[in-house]
Amino acid sequence: MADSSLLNERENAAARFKAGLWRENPILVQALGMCPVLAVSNTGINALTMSLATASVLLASAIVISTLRGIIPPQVRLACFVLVIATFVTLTDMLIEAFALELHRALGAFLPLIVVNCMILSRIEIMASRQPVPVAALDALGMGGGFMLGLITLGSLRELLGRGTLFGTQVMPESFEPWQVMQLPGGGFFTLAALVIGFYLLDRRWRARRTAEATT
Amino acid sequence: MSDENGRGGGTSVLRIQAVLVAIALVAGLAIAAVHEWTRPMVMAQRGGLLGDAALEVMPGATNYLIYVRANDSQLRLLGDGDTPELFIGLDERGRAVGAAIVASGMGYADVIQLVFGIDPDGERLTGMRVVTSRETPGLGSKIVDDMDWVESFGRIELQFDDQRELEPLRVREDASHEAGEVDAISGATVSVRAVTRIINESLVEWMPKLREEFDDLAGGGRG
Repeated sequence: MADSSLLNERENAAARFKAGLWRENPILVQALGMCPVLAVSNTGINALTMSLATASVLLASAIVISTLRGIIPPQVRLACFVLVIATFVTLTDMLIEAFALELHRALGAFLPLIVVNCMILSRIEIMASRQPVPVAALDALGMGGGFMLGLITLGSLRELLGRGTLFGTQVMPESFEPWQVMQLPGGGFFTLAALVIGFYLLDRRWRARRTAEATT
Repeated sequence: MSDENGRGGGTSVLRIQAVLVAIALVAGLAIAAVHEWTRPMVMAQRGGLLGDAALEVMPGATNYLIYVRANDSQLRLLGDGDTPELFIGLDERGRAVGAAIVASGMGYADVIQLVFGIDPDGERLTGMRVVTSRETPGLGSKIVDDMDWVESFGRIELQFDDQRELEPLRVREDASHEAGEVDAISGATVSVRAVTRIINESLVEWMPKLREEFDDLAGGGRG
């Protein structure tokens, strides 16, 4: 799935940014980092904090790794990557605990688990460890943005249907009976599946239109 | 792997170690610095959380006095930079309605910190709230989320043997709260046992003090 382009070292940085947001969206297309995606997407605010934390860790790690790519010995590159990622995760964890304890309690064990988020490690290994800082940073921004986009959509939908609220504000009419299942893990799977299907149909239609325009 | 990227070559073991050590050193320093910086903020927030939890486990309390143990194990009122250890709950007219004890111990994943309430006569519990925990989401985390279970602590009566010695709480399925039993939760066995153990150990430590000094403490202690 567009993977052949991932290794192309001379790829345009702006294209990398857009790829992460849509064509190679980490949640909807690559299906990476599914554990936090399903676990903390029960409300919009949880999804926002979690995805923002993940995106910040990815961006910071990508910049550091890309800067150090010349001196990191290939034999221990994974150890170095994980060390850098773990440091930023720990810092993020401590900052969220200091400034937003309620959110920290809601996200619980999933914050430290960002260390093993495979989306981050894959971006570091594929892009940041081989590309100059601007390309690595834009790629991280695109992938982080795509992750946020997917997770916040998922969280908002589940909160809307499961609680009748959106980011804590009541939006559904009083008569609306919340769908309990949407707040449970099962609801996460259903919503994710629906999102992926919707994404695929939309993407196919757009591509068809673009080819039609190109041929006429 | 290395050669196709054109960055391999004759990397010596010494250089590999130097790079690893350097990165680890910088990482460690960064974490230590941020830890030092955020610690006071985290402690202040946790102090607020402990106070909120204390009010929830002492029915009828609208305010409280906070005590800590001094070095000679005597109790004194909370000072700057102390972590609360004991709350004495006061109602609107300033009468003592109970006590809340802060206790912590190892859970399944990390240290569990909780607050539990006890009535003025020291005969029954009046509530329990877990303040800090990192138990497995969906399993051990039921000790925080399962409100039926959390509320059941308000009905637990302490048991004493013939010598008025406190008997520890036990975990059981279909527990009878009047007989000093805590409900087991399937999926959260370890976490439930941990909470029960933490409360038992804390009771042994605090009961004698509370029996002797409750009235003193309710009046604001010695000075």
